[in-house]
Amino acid sequence: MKCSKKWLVYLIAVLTLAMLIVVAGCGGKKDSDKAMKYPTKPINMVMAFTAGGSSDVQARIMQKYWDKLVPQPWVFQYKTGAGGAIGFSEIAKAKPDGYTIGGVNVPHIVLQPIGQNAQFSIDDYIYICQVVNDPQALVVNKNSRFKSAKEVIEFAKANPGKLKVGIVGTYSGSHMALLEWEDQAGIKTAQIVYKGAADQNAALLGGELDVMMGNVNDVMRSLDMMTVLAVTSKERIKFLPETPTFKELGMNVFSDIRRGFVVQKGTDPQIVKFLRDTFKKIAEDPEYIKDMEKAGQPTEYLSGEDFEKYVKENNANAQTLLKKVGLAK
Amino acid sequence: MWEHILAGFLETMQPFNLFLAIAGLVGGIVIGALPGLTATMGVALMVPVTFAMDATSGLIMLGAIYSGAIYGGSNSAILINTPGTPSSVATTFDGWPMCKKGKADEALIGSLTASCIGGFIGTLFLLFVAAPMAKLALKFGAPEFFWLCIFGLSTIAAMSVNNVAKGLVSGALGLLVSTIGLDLALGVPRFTFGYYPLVGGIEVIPAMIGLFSFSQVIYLVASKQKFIADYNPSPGALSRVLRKFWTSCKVNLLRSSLIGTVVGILPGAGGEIASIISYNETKRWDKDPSRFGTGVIEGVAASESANNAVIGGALAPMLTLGIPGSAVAAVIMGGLLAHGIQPGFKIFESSGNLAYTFIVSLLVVNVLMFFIGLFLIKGTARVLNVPAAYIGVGIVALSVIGSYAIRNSMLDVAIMVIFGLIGHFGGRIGLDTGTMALGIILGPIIEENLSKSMSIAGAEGSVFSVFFTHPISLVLIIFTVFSVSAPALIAKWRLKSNAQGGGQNG
Amino acid sequence: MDKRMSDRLAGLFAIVPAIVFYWQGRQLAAESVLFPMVLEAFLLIMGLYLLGRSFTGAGGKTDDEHLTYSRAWVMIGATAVYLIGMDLIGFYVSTSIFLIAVSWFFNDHGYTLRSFGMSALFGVVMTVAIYATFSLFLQVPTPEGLLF
Repeated sequence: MKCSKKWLVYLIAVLTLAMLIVVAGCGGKKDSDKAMKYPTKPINMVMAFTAGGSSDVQARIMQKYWDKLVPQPWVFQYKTGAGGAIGFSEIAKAKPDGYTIGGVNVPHIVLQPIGQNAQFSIDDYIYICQVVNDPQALVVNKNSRFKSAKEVIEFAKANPGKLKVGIVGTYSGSHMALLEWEDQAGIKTAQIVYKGAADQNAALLGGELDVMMGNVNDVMRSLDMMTVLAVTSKERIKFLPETPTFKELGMNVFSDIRRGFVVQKGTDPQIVKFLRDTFKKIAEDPEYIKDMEKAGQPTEYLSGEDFEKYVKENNANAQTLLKKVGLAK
Repeated sequence: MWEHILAGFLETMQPFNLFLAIAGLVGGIVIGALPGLTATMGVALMVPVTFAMDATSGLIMLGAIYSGAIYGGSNSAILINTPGTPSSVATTFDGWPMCKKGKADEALIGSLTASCIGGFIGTLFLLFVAAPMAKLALKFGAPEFFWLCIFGLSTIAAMSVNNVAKGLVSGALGLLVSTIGLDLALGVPRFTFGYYPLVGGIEVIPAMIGLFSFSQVIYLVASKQKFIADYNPSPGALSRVLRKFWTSCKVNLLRSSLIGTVVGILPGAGGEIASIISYNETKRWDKDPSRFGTGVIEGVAASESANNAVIGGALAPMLTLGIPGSAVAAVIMGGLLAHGIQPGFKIFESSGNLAYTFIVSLLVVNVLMFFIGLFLIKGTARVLNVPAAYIGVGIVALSVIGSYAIRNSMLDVAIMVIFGLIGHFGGRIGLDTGTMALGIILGPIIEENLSKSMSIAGAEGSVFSVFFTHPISLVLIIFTVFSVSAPALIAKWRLKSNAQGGGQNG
Repeated sequence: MDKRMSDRLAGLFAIVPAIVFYWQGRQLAAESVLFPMVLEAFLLIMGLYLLGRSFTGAGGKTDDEHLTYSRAWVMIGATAVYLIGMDLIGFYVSTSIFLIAVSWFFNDHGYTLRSFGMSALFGVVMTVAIYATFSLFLQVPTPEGLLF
């Protein structure tokens, strides 16, 4: 009895050792082959916003074309909360093995570390590409007494702190656009923060707000009842040919919302190259562009290098502006 | 218009579309019944699938999932005292006591019938008065919302007549917990206790799963029960319920459906608030409010008809203004846009066929749901025949995965367990899990609208005029005052009349 | 439990969070803590009222049922181990072990081979059902661990 038990222990020890060697061997092999064979398993796609939101819809459209090019699918993970900060830090913290890609939004990833002690920084990422650029718009109700941006500014100058401006979330694209506009026009308004575009639009239509700063994309849906006074894009927008840009009105207000994809710093350069090339292929596919247009997504592709440059620039501008208005130390 | 409706009906009756409606309903009911999986998630998961269909078929399926999921939540609310979706919180108040009394089948059939009726009425409003309804949504500003939620909170006073102090403490604790995370006005982290991930706040669903189901499991094993509840299926349950609804619940069902529709229209307020308010109103107008909470079918009917009526309401501003009245409606709007359909007042002219087919299909879906639900109830009620030992651990496993599913975060699972302990031990000292859940649900909405109202008051220079002069606000304030003082006044009046009547029960 | 004791504990349950939250938020701007401050004040007042009532009010038994807390603690402890195990060895493996072990522990028919067989069957069927619903059908992510 005793003897057999001893044998059992030996047997288990030997088996364990053998297994360890096999596992180690496999591990070693994987390491040397990784760059050649990527991806060998499904890739996690981290979304910082809820399923069904704009970011999610965009990524799902992209997934359709990714599946045509790469045999391994994306597994969507929704790490939502705190205006995206939870998801963004999740992406930054993931292992840099190329198996966790994430969607990020600018200016959120720029502003949250400055204003909200978020647990990531823009240097934690390697940028794959930018896919969407949604400018901001200054909008009034169709029946508003304001007919132009100039009238709004005159009113705000005469009544400091009385103009009710709606924005969506703090440290967001519309918040930033409002701060830039206040700074450039030399006005002070009452900022009223909404949780989402839906209640912000409702508030403007219901007369609770005087003006609002919102995504062009969200405004487009209620265009029969709203007038767009100015947009933050560099040039006029195709479907709003009458609407001037802030630049034309003599103000440097350029804040917009951009969406792109990133991996962690320290990811194998060959993997990064693979991802950048694949995303570029997708972004240039005319079918993809058509799908994006149908979904109302304002497409604008930027390569990883250009996107990174933009993020850095945006960061420098935001630092200066937020310091000026006292929101950053 | 009538030809559109007829065409829509014929379109819905196409075999493929009917198949999608049934599949959507079954899938929706399952998703809704599983704690942690919400209607929003169910619809969002299926939106990409609809890209491959034509827009009409896709919408029919999404509408069916939405209806099914909102109804499905009541199954777990009744059978295991765990609201499957936040909309069914108020269903636990009477559904679970009914189940404990061995009347699970009546409760289940009652909630099914009420859901179908509520959904049908809500859709009728959508069909005939979508545009005026949508305009109502715009009348609701931040102060109106604030008062609406305070009105919802006044339920606490009515819910805990015998124990007002502890009921209020429970509600306030729920509200306080809901303030953890980023504050809306300035965007700074609050109450994170130095632990950064808390900046995302306490998610309602894990907290609710903990308060209701994990605490229930602790109770279940500690009480050495062999089964969760006795289950004696009686053959006449269906006809009993229908007769009861026809004779004494007509007003209740109509009122609750109307409340559900109106609340549904408002962006930011959904089934959870509608069902709470309807429950409260039904209780208030009942001849004997004290029997609520002990297991009466009227309570289940109020809550479930209201939350399904929300669907019709939530879709009205989405279709006509492009402003979704609920998170699910927002996701459905994403699906519409992906098919190149722009919502707006013109939708009934520019895409009339599609819009009418969608709405008519919802009517059909609510009828289908009745029969599918009846079929499924036979299976779901069997849960009660499973010994408590298995059910207990099964609920724990489902609670874990349900809490995790919301944000894919282990923190939420830990939050679920912690709230389970709070719910259980708090319950031992007289605190109430239902009111705490109310606080957690309403807290963020109250604070958001309070902060917006204060910003507006800052701009207009008068707190008083913002909060106390809008007509809708005034109506809501009067309701609230009445709601808070009514139970005490009625009790006092009863006492007096009892004393005069020589102690006889009046 | 004595009514006074129940009031006293409930009072503390109101006062302690109120003070902790007040302490946490004391350095924040007024806009951020306006609503929480109102709640903290309210909880403090209600807590003091309950405490006061616990000393002056009538005693007597609260009408609660008898609960076997040793069983409750086993459940709570097992859940804690389950959560830790999930992180270490993966969701599905730890779920099936948890389901089998704990349902066997609490079963009504004694610790026999037969009852273990029942629990094992239940654990496996339930795990497969969860896998089919969540991972295959809905494709909702489950917690990740080392194994499956």
